[in-house]
Amino acid sequence: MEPMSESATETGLRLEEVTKRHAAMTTPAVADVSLAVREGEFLTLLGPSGSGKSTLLRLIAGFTSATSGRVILDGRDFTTIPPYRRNIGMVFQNYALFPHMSAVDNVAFGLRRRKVNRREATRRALEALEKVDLAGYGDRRPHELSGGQQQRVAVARAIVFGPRLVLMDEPFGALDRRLREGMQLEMMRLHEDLGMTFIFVTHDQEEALSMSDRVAVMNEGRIEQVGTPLDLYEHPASRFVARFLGDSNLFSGQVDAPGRLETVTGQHRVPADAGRGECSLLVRPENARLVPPGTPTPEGVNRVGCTIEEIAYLGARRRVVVRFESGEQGIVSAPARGPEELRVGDRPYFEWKPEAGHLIEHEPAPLDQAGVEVG
Amino acid sequence: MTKKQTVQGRRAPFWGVLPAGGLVGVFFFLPLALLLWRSFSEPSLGLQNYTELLGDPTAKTILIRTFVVAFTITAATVLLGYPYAYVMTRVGPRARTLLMAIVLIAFWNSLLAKSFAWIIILQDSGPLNDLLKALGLSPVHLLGTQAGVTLGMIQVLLPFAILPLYATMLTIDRSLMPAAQGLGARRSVAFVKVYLPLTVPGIMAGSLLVFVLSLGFYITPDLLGSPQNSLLSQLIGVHVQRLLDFPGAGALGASLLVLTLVVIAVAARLARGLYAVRAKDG
Amino acid sequence: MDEENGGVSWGLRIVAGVIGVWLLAPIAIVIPLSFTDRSSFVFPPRGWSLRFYKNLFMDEAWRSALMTSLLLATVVALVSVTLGTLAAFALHRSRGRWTMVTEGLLFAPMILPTVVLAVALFNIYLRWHLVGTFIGFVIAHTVLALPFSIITVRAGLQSLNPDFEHAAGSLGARPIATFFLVTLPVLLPSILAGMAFSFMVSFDEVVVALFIQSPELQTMPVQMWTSIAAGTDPTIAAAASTTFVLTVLVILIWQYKPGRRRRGADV
Repeated sequence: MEPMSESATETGLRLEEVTKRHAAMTTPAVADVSLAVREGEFLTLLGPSGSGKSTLLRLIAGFTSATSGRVILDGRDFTTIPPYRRNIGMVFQNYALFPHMSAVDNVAFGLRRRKVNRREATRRALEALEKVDLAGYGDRRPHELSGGQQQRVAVARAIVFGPRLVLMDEPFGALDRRLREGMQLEMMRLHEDLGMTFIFVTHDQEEALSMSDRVAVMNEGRIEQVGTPLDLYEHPASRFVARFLGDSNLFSGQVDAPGRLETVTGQHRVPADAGRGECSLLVRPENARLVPPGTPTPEGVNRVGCTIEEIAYLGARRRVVVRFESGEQGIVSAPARGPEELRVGDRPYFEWKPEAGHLIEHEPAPLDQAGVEVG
Repeated sequence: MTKKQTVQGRRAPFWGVLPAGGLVGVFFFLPLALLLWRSFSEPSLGLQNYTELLGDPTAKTILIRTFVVAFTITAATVLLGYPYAYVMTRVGPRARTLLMAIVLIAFWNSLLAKSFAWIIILQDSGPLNDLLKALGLSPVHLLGTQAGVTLGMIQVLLPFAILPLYATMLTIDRSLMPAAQGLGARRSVAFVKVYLPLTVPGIMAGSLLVFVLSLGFYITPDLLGSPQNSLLSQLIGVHVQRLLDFPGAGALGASLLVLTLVVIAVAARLARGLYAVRAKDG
Repeated sequence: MDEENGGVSWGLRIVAGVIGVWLLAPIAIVIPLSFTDRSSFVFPPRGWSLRFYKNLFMDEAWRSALMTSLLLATVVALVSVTLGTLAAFALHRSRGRWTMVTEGLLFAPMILPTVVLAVALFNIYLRWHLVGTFIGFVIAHTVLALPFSIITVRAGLQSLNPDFEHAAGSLGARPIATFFLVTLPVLLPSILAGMAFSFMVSFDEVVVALFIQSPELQTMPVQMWTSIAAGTDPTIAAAASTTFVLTVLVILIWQYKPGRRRRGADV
């Protein structure tokens, strides 16, 4: 990492080897995290519970202080600066709306702290409420609003004063599915509209993939990978990322010769310069297909024998769970109506093209069930 | 969320406790300590006040009487409070609010007012005797008797039994009784084997509370009783107000306090034992 | 016997009803009695009048006792809630063994028989010339009322969403502003509850008052006590009824105060 300097022209948020260790615990909640967030982007911190994503967000907000490392915003070291001087907007999972104030007073709170006079603050607050589709609800108290409405007030409150960053800590966790999807779209629209930098925390990978410009996948306090949703899905840098985002088939083995992966399920072709040493080969379910036994092997295609264990009809496609001779499970996403009938107990070939696979270099891990994340 | 970190002050200073703690220290513990000291040091250093106490037959009678009364009251309040609390958990919201309001009003109402009311009720020409006469029963003389004191104290202390019982009953899953009956148990059996054991914490809490309070009651016994049936707390009062015998009062007070603590300790041990047994049963 | 539907057998309902009536019996007696027209405790009263209420508010002894108690209870409520809030905050934010020990010590006045404390305080007040002084009363009553304040404010703090403070901070409020604009208003119900309880504890307190009183400083309960011992003056009934109305008012306000939350419909 090149030496970081504090420049006056730098914009955006930068985290430098930030670590947060709670006194009693030996494993840090956040370990050596370095991240650069670009101006105006929608970045999601994605990970399972305990991965440190919420802690990291709170570090950015200033609610808790880093044990070591730096938080730099627009070139200024913010590490020790308290929240009320960071000019950030935060949306909490439980909304945290002040119960003794009306919606409009809640929204105007940040403006009033910044010495905006009452009339102007109210006006802008009402505007913000309109922006989140809550025109006319200004005089209601939080307990008179539904969950979705409270959430929108929380968002309005966080953005009305034009903060540098907007932070959101699993804001849609408490909403039901339809509401959540609606709010996701609204959030994306809002982001477009406002052009502010959004940092979003969630454990829901679908949410992360659909909303974000970039995603940072976190696990046990570290960032495993940062990239666009496409990058992460198609080229995960680790088994964890591969398993966390979508279903996966992972074959572990050794690349002992260029282009060849030796695994328990046999030898597979991989692109020549894909990697070496201990690796896992990722094949996404939609890139694999099942062909009936006896079909001749096309040139250059990888194949593994398997038995169909389960078929789930999902309307648009079928999710087929198979078991390989080696004992692990695999998943194939098959069309709803295929040329052949698939039945539980059948023994087709699991087949994919080498280019469709992605090789992950890393330390070996025990063979796992495809699609099910561990820890 | 139990994060104790806050925006202001990570290790929030404990000093906030000092004003309150200081007050309690100087005007509670210190006076008690001083009184205790006097009981050990006047007229001269030693345990004479205590031996005097142990030798005094009146004191012993009073002590036994105090315990008997406390036991009676505890048993009565729990027996009466149990169905009341049970009904509170089973009725609709409006009835429940009403029942709760009655308990709260009875609870918070002035103790003097309640005791005074009982004087009125229990007097020979009072409404109780009127009621008895109307029912064809012979009138009773209760004012100035131990029975009268007990009766009055039961009514005063009843809310203290009801509230813990209610709180515990609230935590009991409502589907347990129907489930037990569905498995073939008669209602009475289901009650004894399923519901009752689960309410034991509440029974213990309520009993302990009422018992401890009964031990230390002063107002009601003094108003409803007579010198022939004083309770321990009245004896303490007499020592100070009539005899200006602080050391003796101190000794009595210390004894009362020790007894109270013993009762609490025994109850705590019992409770722990019960919990352990229950935990083992899974 | 439809237990499943939450129905309760009529037998039980009647029992509860009887007990409920019995709980209120004293009140039912005292209030009508307060409207009697003669100096006797015969119940039901033979005639009606307001003269004993008039006496309560006109008679020098009763009036001054009432005023004293009202003033005293108010001061105690304020002091108790201030000290109690400070203590509750400190207890809430701390961890470790000290918390439990301190809590236990602060709540000790609740388990001690009041007469023992009364005697102990009398002993020490004699030495420090605090007998019959207003400050002496305030101190004694505050010691008794503190646990209530601490309990209510502590409960309020425990249900206080810690994110409120964070939210206020993130919006630009300095710690002091956060305390006065967010924390305190949200805690107001608990604080008011603590004040109400402290007020009632002080207003009704008899035992300690009996011991540390003086001819110049008599609280209402003491006045009532003396009156009962002295003879048949139904002014006591008027006093008791007034107390009762006060109590009911406070409880009603507490049960139905505007801060009561209701969930809006989830849309």
